[in-house]
Amino acid sequence: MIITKRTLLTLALAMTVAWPAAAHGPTPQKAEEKIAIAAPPDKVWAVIKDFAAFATWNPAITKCVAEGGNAPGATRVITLKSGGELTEGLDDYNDKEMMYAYRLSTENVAVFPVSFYSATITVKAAGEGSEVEWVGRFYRGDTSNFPPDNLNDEAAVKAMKEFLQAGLEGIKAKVGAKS
Amino acid sequence: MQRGRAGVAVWLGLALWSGIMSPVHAGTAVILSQTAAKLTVLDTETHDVRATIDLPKSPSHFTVSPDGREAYVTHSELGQVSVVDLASRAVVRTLRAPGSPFGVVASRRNTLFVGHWNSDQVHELDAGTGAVLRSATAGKAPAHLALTADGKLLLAAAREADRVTIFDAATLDVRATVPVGRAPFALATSHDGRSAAVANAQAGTVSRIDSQTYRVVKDVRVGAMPYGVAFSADDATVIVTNQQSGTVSLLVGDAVVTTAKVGSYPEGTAIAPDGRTAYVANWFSDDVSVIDIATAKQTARIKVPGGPRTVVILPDGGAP
Repeated sequence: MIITKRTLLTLALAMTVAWPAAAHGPTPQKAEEKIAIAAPPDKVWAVIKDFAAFATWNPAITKCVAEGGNAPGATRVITLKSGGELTEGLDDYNDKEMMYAYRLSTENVAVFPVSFYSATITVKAAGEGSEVEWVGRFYRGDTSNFPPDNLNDEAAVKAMKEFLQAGLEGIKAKVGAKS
Repeated sequence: MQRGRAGVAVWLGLALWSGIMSPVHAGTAVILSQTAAKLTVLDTETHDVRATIDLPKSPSHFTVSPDGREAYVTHSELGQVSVVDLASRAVVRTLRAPGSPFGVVASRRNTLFVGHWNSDQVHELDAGTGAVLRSATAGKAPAHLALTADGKLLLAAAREADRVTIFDAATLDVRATVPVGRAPFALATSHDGRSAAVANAQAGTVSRIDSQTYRVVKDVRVGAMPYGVAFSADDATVIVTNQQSGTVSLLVGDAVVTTAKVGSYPEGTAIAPDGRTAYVANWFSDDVSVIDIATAKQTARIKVPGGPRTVVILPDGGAP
């Protein structure tokens, strides 16, 4: 193979462009997890309301470095317990309705086999206490038509479901509610 | 049906006006559910589901033929387009399509324009045989496609190239590339043939494009992750679905005049020919929101099979 400047440029372009392009496949998956907490909604919301406070209640996260407060456009770099980092961006924030919505900005399928997700967490009144609902819309780690088993739809759904469930348990533990 | 909705509506309107078609049944919406792999034929007046049509797995998107008789459903993961006869409610042909076919729009000369999502290509296929007639470069990850009202221009939103490419629909020669916001996905053209609107998912904006000068006239800020866009029949109103906010924005001119709550993760949308009602496919909550445009209120939620992503309104005729 003759290496020309054009070849190098093409290679460089392919390396920078190919992965993000593949990161938004056409078949999204969904996850929806809920937990009942025997505490008033404002008390539960107080635990999770700061976009930057992710690591204080989520047992799957060891570190969260955030910028921009709770305004749409804010970002947070989170370190997973497994060691990898993901960057997320805040899209929508509503203190009154006790919800915020965010998305993955920089994926890392080696540690979390999802190439793109957006998620919304909401606290609602339920009976005497609260219910926290956390939903995600996401794409498998490899969005080509022939993904390996560790990056297919099933792997993505499993990882997302477990992540949301662990987080919700973390909120309940942090609130200190018995139920 | 973001891409091509406007164009199809105009063709249908013209076809009726010129007496080619006999009016059969006003008020039919067709909804594509991706997860359930079904088309739902909905009566827009009674909100009754008239029929559901089974499809092969993972349908991505769809459009209808100018006469409203056939639906063309892309399957990115199967590399095919299913052709559905809306009268007999069955898949009648399967066309092979290059790569991962996603966006699709039908021309008036029995051809389909189809985008290959995992590349930068759009292809024109013979709608009867699936033969590839022409190919052209649209930009990385072609999402929705639309034709102008006169059928002369093809527009393609290239999601990873942050641009809309405008082609001569007869030759697929590039007329212009129009830089827009981050991650343009949904695209619609106006009925008067003068403009287009593209929803830039990651920018949270809609770019209004003048389809005669090929320039962005205005970027309008909407909600989070806009994923669907449609013009009203008189072009006075543009509806935009904000997937991440669970809302729709109604635009008049270049300003958002109101925002309404809908279901969870709204995507595709269409406005009925009378201009009074919009339909929104809520991907997460598995239902369709009915929006009264004048009051900007959701007036009904209709349950549909899992994962609805696209809505097409058949003004008349089409599915009986």
